[in-house]
Amino acid sequence: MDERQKSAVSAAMAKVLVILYIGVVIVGVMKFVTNFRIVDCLWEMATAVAVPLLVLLFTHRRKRTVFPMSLAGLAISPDRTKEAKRGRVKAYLLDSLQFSLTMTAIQVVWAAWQALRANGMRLSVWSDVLRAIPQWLGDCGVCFIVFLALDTVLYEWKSRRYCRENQEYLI
Amino acid sequence: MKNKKMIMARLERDLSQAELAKAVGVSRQTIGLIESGDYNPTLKLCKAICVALGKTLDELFWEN
Repeated sequence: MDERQKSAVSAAMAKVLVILYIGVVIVGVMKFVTNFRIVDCLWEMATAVAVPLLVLLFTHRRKRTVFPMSLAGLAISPDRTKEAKRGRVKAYLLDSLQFSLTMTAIQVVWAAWQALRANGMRLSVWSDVLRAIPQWLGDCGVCFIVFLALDTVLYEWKSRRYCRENQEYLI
Repeated sequence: MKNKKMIMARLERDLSQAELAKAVGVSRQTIGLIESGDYNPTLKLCKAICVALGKTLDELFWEN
């Protein structure tokens, strides 16, 4: 098998893995929503955690210098210039906003589902939901700040490492 | 875009796609796709093709 065939097979396998992964996550969520028992979806949860970890492990072992990418999949310039740093900060803010909004949306859907399941579709439940909005906004803000801090530390380290490795290759 | 320089270099050496493919250790289809511009080879394969055709990387793969 030559490099082109290997590349084609790798791309196809990656797509198959993504489809299987989504399938496993959907099956896990369905099992949990049906019975509300974590034990029933342990295998799905383990697979959902293990697959990204294994992908990370195997890509790390290739020891290739990978251009830093943001959570949204955008390339982050690792340069030490002010303009590049401004671009990185923008990417961190966007990442954090996406993450915190997604987490808040999951929290809202989950809380609404729990409340509706417990009490039925009553108006008082909706007023409870409306009352909880400031709490969710607060959680969203905290999530944004925590994720921004983590994202900044992680990606600044990644971009510095990228520059360092590039310097090594220049020798 | 077709890589005419590579096609010319191969024909100068009187090699078929299959013979060049065998010399560099890839399939004939891969050579065909490189020549038709539908596949970007790695630097490693580019170098192997250059060695097999007796040309430099600039001569075969640099577009002016």
